[in-house]
Amino acid sequence: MLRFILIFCFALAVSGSALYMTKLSVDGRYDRLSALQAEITEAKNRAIILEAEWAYLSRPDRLLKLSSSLLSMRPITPNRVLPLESIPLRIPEEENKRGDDAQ
Amino acid sequence: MRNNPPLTSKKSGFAAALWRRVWPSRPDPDKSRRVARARLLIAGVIASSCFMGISAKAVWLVTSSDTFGANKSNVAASAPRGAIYDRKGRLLATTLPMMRLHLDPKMVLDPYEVAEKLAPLLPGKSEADILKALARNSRFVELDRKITPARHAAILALGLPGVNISQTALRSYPHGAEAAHLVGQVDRDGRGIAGMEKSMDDRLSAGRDVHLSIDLGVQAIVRQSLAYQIERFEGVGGAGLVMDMQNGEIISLVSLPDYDPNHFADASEDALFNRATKGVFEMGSIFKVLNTAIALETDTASLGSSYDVSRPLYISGFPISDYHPYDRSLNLSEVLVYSSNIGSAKVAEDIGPVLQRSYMEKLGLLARPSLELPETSQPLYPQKWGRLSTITISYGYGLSVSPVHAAGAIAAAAGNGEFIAPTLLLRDADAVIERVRIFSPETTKKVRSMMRLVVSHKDGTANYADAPGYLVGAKTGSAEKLKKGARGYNKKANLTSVIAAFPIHNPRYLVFVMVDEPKPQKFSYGYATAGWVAAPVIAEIVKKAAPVLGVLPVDIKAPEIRQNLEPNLNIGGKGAIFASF
Repeated sequence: MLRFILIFCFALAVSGSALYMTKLSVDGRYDRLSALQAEITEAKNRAIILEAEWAYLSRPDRLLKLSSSLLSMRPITPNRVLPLESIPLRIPEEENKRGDDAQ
Repeated sequence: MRNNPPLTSKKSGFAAALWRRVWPSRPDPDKSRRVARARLLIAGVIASSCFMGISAKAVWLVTSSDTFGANKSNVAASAPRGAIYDRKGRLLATTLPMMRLHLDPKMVLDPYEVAEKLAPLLPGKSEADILKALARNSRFVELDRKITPARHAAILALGLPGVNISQTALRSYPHGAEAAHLVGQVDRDGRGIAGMEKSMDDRLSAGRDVHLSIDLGVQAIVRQSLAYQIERFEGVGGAGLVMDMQNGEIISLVSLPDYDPNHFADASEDALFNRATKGVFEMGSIFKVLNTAIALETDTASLGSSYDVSRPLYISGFPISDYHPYDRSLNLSEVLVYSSNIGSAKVAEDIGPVLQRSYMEKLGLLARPSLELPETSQPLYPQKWGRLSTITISYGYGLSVSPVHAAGAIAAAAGNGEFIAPTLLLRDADAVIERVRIFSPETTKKVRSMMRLVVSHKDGTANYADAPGYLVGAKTGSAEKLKKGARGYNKKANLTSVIAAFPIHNPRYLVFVMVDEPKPQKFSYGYATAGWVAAPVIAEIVKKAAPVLGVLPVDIKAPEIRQNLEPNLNIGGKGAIFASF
C-alpha cells in the first residue's frame, strides 16, 4: 500500500513538473507571439501613415503646381491625340529593300 | 517512561479539569501508545491534505484557461475603421494611429509643476488651461488628441505621475477639400455623421474599405475649373458633376464653396451644404431637353412641327416671353437650339399634364434620388399639376430638383434612352445594372443632334461649351431665383447651368455645371447668362478630363459619326440650311 502511494506521489511530482515546464514554454511562445503581433501592428501603422503621406503629397493641386513650375508639359490638344491603330506600322524589311531596288 | 507531574491539591475546579484533559495521567503505557498513534495519524492527514490542496491549486493555476485568455486578449486587437478610396485606389479617408494626452488629477502631486512643464510642449495650451483642467473633479481629463512622436517622447521624459498617454485613432482626409462633401465626416467617437462616412458607416466600422466611383483627377479638374469661373463672375457658389452615362457611375461631384474635412469644426454652414445633391433648384431651360424628348417620344410633335413664337403667350394672365424674340414660326429643333420659352410652352400644351407628369416620375424627378449620400432632397413639385404647371415645367420653372436629379434624367434623354439611377459606388464589372427604357433610340438620336447644334450652330446658346474634337452637345439654362422671403422672382439673382454630353454621336459622359448668382462683368459685355458663365467651364472640363477618361478625339466629318446623328434638322428658317455639326 505504502509503496503504491509512494509511486503515485513520485509520478504526480514528475508529471506536475513536466506540466509546469510546458506551461513556462507556452508562456514564452505567447510572449514571442505578442511581440510579433506588436511588430505587425507597428508595421501596419507605418504603412497606413506612409499611404496617407503619399496621398497627401500627390494632391492634384500640388502636382499641378509642381508640374507647372518644374516641367514644361502642357495639356494635350485634341489634334495631337491619335488611336494606336491609326499610326502606320513600320514597313517590313523586305518591302523596304524592294523599294530601294526599284530606285 | 514518562512520569506525570503530580497533581497538586492547589489546582481545583475548571483549571484542574483543563489540565487533566491536556496532560492526563497515563498509568497504562499501551493506552498512551495508542493515543499517540491516533494523534500522529490525525496530524498526518491534516498535513497531507494541506499539501494536496496546495498542489491542486498549483495544477489549477497552471492549466486554468483564464491565464491563456489573458494572453490572447493582448494579441487580438480590434480592426480600425475602413478606408475610402477613389475608383483608381487613391486614398480619400483613412484612420491614422495617434497618441493622446490625458491627465488623472487625483494622481498629480504638484499641479503647478505639471502646468509649468507641460505648457511649452502643448501648442495652443497655456499654463492656466492646464491648471483649469487639473482642477476638474474627474479621473480622466483629455488635454490633446494629436501628440506627435517627438512631443510624446518629451512628455514621457518629464516622468510626471498622473500625466498619461494612450493610443487613439484620428480620421484623416489627405486630399482635404477635394472631395469633402462626398467623403463626409466622423464625430469624435469615430461614427459617420455626414457623406459616405455616414451612409457606409456599417461597412467602414466593420473594418472594410469603400471604393467610390469618383475619379480624383477628374474631381480636381471640375473643382478647379468651376472655382475659377465662380471667382471671375463673383458667384456665391456652384456645383459640378460628371457621370458615366453607360452605368450611372458619378465620376465627379463638386459643390462650392467647400471645406477641409480635417478642420470640420471651422466650416461655415454654407460650405457644409451640398449644392449638388441636397440643394433643389428650378433648373430653367435645360429642362427643354426633356420637353423635346417627351414630345418626340409621345408623337405629340415631330421634327416638322411648327410653333408661332412671334407674340408673348399669356396663360391665366401670366406672360411668357423669349430672351431672344423671333418674329416667325420655329420648328421643334429651333425651339430647343434658340431656347424659346413660347415654343416650349406650346410643345408642352400638346403633351398635356398627365403625360408630362408620368414622364417626370419615370425619370426620377418626383422622388428623393437613390444616391448613397444621406444629403439628398425631395424635389418640390406642384400638388395640382395643371395647364400652367405643365407649361412652366417645360422650360424648367415650377419643379425644383437637385443637380443629381437633373443629371440622371437628362442622361436618359441624351444617352441611349435608358434611365439608370446615379451611384457613387464603384460597380463590379459583372454587376447587373437596373435600366429602365424611357425613350427610343430614334428619339434620343434627334435630341442629341439638337444638343450638338446648341453648341455648334452660330445661333446656339452654348457655343463656348465646344471642345474641338470631342463633339460636345449641350443645353444652357439661366433661371431667375425665387425672391428670399417674398413672392415672385429676383431678376438680378440668376442660377446659370449647362448640361452637356460627349462625344455626342455615342455619348459616354454627362457633364453638368451650375454657377449660383453670377454677376455681369465687363469682359462678358454685361452678360451673366449660362452661355457666358457655365458653358466655358464645360469646354474646360471636357478638354482636360477627356484624356483622363480615355475618350479619344474624333473627326466630325467621319461617316460613322454622321450616321449616329440626325441630318434633317432645319435651323435658320428661310434658307432651309441643313444642319452642320
